[in-house]
Amino acid sequence: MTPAVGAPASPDWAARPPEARVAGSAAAFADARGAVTYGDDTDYARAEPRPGQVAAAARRARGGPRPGPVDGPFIHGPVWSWAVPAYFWAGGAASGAAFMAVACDTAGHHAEAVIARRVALGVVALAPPLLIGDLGRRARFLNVLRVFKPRSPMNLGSWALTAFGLGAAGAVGADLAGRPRAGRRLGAATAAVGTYLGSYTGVLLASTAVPVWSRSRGALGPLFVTTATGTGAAATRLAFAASGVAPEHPARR
Amino acid sequence: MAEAHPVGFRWVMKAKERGAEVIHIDPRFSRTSRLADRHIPIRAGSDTAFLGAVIREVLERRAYFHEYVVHYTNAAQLVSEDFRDTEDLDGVFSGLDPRTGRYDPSSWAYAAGERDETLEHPRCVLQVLRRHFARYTPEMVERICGVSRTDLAYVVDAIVANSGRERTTSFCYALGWTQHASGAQMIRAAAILQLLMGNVGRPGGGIMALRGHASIQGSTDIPTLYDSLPGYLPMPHAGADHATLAAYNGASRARDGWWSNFDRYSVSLLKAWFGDAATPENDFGFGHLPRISGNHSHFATSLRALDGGVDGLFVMGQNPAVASQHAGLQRRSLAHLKWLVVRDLAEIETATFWRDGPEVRDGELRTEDIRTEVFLMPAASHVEKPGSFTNTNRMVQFRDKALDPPGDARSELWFVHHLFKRVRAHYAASTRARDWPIVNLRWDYPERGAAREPDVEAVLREINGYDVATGRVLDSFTDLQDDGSTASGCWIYTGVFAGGVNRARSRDPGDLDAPGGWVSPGWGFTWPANRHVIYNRASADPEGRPWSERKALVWWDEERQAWTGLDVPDFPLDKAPGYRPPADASGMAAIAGDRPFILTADGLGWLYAPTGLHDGPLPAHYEPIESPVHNALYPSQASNPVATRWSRPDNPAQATGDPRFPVVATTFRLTEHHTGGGMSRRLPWLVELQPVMFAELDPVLAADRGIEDGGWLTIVTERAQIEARARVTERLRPLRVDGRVVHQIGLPYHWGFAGPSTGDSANDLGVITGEPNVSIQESKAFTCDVRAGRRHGATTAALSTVVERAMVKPSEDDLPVENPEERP
Amino acid sequence: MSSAAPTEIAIHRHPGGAPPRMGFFTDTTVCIGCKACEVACKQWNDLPADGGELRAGGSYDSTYDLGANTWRHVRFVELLEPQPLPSIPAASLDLVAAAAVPGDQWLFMSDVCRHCTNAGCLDACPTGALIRTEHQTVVLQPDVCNGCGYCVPACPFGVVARDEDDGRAGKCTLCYDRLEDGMEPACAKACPTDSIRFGEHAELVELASRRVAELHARGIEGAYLYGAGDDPELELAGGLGAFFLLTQPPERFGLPAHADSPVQQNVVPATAAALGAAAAWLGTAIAVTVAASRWGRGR
Ligand SMILES: Nc1nc2c(c(=O)[nH]1)N[C@H]1C(S)=C(S)[C@@H](COP(=O)(O)OP(=O)(O)OC[C@H]3O[C@@H](n4cnc5c(=O)[nH]c(N)nc54)[C@H](O)[C@@H]3O)O[C@H]1N2
Ligand SMILES: Nc1nc2c(c(=O)[nH]1)N[C@H]1C(S)=C(S)[C@@H](COP(=O)(O)OP(=O)(O)OC[C@H]3O[C@@H](n4cnc5c(=O)[nH]c(N)nc54)[C@H](O)[C@@H]3O)O[C@H]1N2
Ligand code: SF4
Ligand code: SF4
Ligand code: SF4
Ligand code: SF4
Ligand code: SF4
Ligand SMILES: [Mo]
Repeated sequence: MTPAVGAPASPDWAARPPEARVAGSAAAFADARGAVTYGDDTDYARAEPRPGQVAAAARRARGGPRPGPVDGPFIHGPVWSWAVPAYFWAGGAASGAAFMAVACDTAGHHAEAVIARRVALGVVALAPPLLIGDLGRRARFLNVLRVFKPRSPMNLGSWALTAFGLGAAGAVGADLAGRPRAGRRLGAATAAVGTYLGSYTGVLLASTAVPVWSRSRGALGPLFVTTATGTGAAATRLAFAASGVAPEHPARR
Repeated sequence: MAEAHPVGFRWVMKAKERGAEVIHIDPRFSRTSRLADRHIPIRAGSDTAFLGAVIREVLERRAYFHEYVVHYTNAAQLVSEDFRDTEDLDGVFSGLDPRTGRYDPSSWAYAAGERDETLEHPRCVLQVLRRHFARYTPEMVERICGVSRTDLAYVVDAIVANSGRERTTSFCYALGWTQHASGAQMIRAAAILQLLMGNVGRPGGGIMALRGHASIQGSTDIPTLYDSLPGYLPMPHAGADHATLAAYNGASRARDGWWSNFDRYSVSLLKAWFGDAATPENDFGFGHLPRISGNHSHFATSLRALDGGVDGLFVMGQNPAVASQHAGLQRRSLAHLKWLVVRDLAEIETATFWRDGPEVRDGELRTEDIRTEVFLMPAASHVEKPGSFTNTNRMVQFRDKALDPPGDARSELWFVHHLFKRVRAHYAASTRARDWPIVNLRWDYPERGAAREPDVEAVLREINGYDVATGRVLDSFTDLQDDGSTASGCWIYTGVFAGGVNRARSRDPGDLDAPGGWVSPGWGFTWPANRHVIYNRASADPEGRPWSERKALVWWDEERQAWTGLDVPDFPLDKAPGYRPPADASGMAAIAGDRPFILTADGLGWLYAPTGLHDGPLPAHYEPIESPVHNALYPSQASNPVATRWSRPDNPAQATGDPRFPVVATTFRLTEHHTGGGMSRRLPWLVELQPVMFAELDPVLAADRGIEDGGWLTIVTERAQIEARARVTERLRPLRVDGRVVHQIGLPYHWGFAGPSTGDSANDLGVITGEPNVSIQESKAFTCDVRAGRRHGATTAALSTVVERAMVKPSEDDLPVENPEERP
Repeated sequence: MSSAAPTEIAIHRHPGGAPPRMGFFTDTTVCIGCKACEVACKQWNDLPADGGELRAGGSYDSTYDLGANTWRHVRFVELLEPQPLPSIPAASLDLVAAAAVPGDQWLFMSDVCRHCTNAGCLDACPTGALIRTEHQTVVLQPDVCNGCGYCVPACPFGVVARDEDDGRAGKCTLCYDRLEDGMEPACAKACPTDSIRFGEHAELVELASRRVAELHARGIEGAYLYGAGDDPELELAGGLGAFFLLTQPPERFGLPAHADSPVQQNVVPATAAALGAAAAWLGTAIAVTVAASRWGRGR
């Protein structure tokens, strides 16, 4: 018997000639053609469909009222654990904090902006462990970055998280290194990324077959970013309070 | 059929797509019913009443195939004046000896030589038939089977419309007909119907016995049956008429027809066994063959073992602790052996009953009291050894080994071969007469490989047969002789090695699109003589022309003066249709050119069987031995008068109409499991598909007993109580039978107590009885009761008291030895 | 019938141009419910048994659903009409005649991944583990999958699932490995009645359409194709690579009457809404802070 040709890593694998087949194989899947039930010697599919007949039959069957008993689930529900909502929260809060940093900068409260940027970094640092913790294969968490696939909210979100994390770290680093302008610029860029990071989670849920999520596609993103901004602002205010910013300071209002 | 023969069922599906109408008659709506054009629910065990009514309708409407019936069946034959029918004797035939419970068939004979081709004579077979089936009316079918007359008429119409010159009807059956106390007669009823409709010996006709294990056909051809020798020769018995070879041949040979060749086959068989030691002077060793002296079937042997009459047992590829009727008794019977050899792929229940059987679990038997010494030997599976399978259409197909067996696992052939060699070594020097067969058995199969596996093709070559002087392999059984110059292990297989080539190995489908290409003679070897349809002379009219173009198979070629066609003709090739035997002719010369059924002495298909059956020349409806209702057709005869009952306290049958057991139980197979489960219950992929023992029952019965779908129920008989999960389904329907409602439940019989998926065994419930012709048990119809909830207490408690009393006291020399090492 | 869109990541190993789209036509009217396909798939792909149970109302279906380790699954639905008890006593002997067309009363359907033109799972997969192959089938590469679980709710048919022990997702590969060797998939090979028909998608659609016409001619009016031959606006997920012939409304089999890739349906509008809202909130935050500090300073 001819064994299968090559192994995935070997050079002849990619270049395997079409005639290099294992025993039992047949050109053009001829083994699939040995039909019993249909063939010229049965009436299996003798009739010619009228134009539109097939489409109309499906329309009828799929358009009617739902029959009484329905067997089995239509979809598989999400398999995520608590870590995923926690991650949603962390990513959202970090984005909100980044927004606050930009807001403080714009209003000229640079010291508070530095705190807000630290909050953004601190909170976003919670995100990767949560995200990775939920993976079935944690060691492969970097696989999300092996492709850039804007169609997949989770892929884009992972890139956004990476960019946000790097941006936030860079901004805090710049602040610490005494380069406030760089810190502010990086902070602004982080907040820009944060617009996606804080809102894509809603997109992610909307892009599933779970009916309530799918139907709320216009609402989920805004809802998530609203709470994100809220929690981010709240977290920042807590940080302000903790770091002694006076309660009557505008940024704490 | 869709469940137990799914791959064969593809041909039914194909036929359906070619316009065939498929009718399924079964107590349960099964996967088969789902694909049939019509499902007709019937009460288990009532098929003879149903078929009898179909026969009656066909006769009343004169819808039978007249020309075929007149020429090819014994319809015109007159029956002896001594014959009395069930009509005359209140449900039994003449010749019954009530004392022995047996028939003397002499009164069933033909009135020799008398025929009436007008079919009007009151004693001609057709008129006997008409009177016999007159009471099988549609009303009776409704009363007995629970089948409406509309459904009956539908079946009759379908059969009539699909029979005749242009069309044929085929019957497929398996255990729904066989596993009854009158099973053989159910099949006889179908045979009568098929003969009346002209559906035998023709393409698309016949009665298809859907066989069981892969080579169960092979194991009747080269039998594992106690009363048969290879090639359907009878096993010699201890009576005077089998005392010598001449007597045996004389008693078995027919004067006319193919069986006039009997001597050639018996002598060639003895030559194959005893080789040079078999000579005409010593009767070819015939005197050394063991003799039977009664019923030595599986059940008789189990009961004898239970009574201490069997020392040791080889169980090869069987699992009686689960799959045999009255399994609780079977296990107790195993516990009464001294030794037991089990050869199997897995550690099956038959090998472990002594430590985990329900009796041991429930405290009825104690392991330390069971003195059976069990040897479990690993067997090679079918893919781990070469060999052949003979399938249901008698096609022998050889297969090569795909894998080496693991570890010490070996083939059956290896085991028997080496066992015999070791046994023979003990007798090498013996000159005692009784050791003659051991010393002189021809046993020279070459051994191959490190494992010294005997060459299986050498065995097949010997089965095929050879010329003793030259060793040349024979091409056809017509070459076999009765003088000892030829040897053949099974005459019907001669030709499988024709030309020295293993024909069973061939896999040439041929040109399937060519006219008649569907016969595919190059695929395997179909015994006899690679003939695909037996009695195919009947596919041509008396003059030898096909009944129709559409149904042509073999025909007489006027020019060449020979039979020819798409299949190998089942007729002497040069016997012209017009041949009429001279008055003094005998043997095959006595068969006229228009008599296709060459295995019967008159060359005719037997509507009426003057000999051959133990329970009557015609089928009569008897109720199952356990039935909730009395016999509406023959009120004074409830069940088969000559069935074997083995009535004893440990084998109690429930009386007809016993109010404690109002429910009919039938057993069945699941596609997902195999028989006793030795193979399938150990395969997780199959277990997940059908994970637990269950019972199918109808919603009315379930509601009545408070049984919930998916919940537990307990099924009770006099023999045992078992628990199962309930599958409450509309696929089972209550039937109205004789003015009352009868509920039926269906039990798969695949579960047992060992292995990864365990469950109570349906066979614990059954009673051991024997159909009079073949000793098969009645596992397709018995009575029981059901109740909600799990079993309380022991499974077979009902048995333990009676059996233990019967347990034989151990004799002095086989008391347990303290130190097994010291055993001699 | 649209064909699958070229995707970012696909294998194109065939030098002589793109091979045709391959798929399955599963005809439930000739299925005998033997489950050979389910077992053959497990055997070929070396998938473990993941357990079955006898369920109330579950008929002969004990494995219940497609899953990470069950890539073919045979569904059984019993629809037999309850029968009245046969009337007693036997005044009139008119027993209920058996049903004439029992085929519709016990449904068997061998379910499998649809290899959608618009495959939600593939759209959602962040790692590129799910790819479209040269046969235009959707294959999950187990050596890439990190078990993020996103494909699971993104499949509108409840096909792909994550194995809790192994951590990765799993589903039918349309026997990619066998296809590479010119062999038909294991399930189709095992199917005794050709209920599972494997072949070139275009040919299958043609065959299936004729089958529908044939069944209509035989009076089985309810026969239709689920996932092929539809008008464009009614296409299921852009057309299914593995489609079915059914005789009962889809919900009877646990199938949605309408489905598409939720990612393709929703990702653009949802992202637009989300980003819009995010920008608004960022702006609001800035505006509020600036306003607050002005007000604070002004005080
Ligand atoms: N999957 C699978 N296939 C098998 C086997 C297996 O165990 N599993 N076993 C093999 C063996 S050994 C054998 S012998 C064959 C047997 O093959 P079958 O005979 O087809 O198998 P069963 O399911 O035992 O019985 C067939 C049907 O008979 C029905 N029946 C019961 N009583 C009656 C009756 O009185 N009248 C009528 N008309 N029908 C009745 C039952 O409801 C059942 O549906 O299958 C072989 N094939
Ligand atoms: N209630 C009820 N009882 C029945 C039936 C029924 O319909 N209802 N059907 C009856 C029928 S038709 C049959 S055939 C019997 C079947 O029942 P049994 O004859 O007891 O057969 P199995 O349970 O199939 O046991 C066969 C064993 O052979 C082993 N085996 C497989 N291949 C080989 C091999 O190559 N060599 C060896 N040495 N072993 C091998 C398997 O592992 C298995 O354990 O059951 C009968 N019992
Ligand atoms: S390859 Fe061997 S084991 Fe597999 S199905 Fe064929 S014969 Fe059976
Ligand atoms: S979306 Fe679902 S059905 Fe479609 S290809 Fe993906 S897993 Fe299969
Ligand atoms: S679980 Fe695996 S296949 Fe599914 S989306 Fe995540 S990475 Fe892709
Ligand atoms: S195509 Fe292959 S992987 Fe898919 S269901 Fe069939 S056997 Fe399983
Ligand atoms: S193998 Fe074919 S016939 Fe059997 S269940 Fe699967 S699809 Fe149906
Ligand atoms: Mo059997």
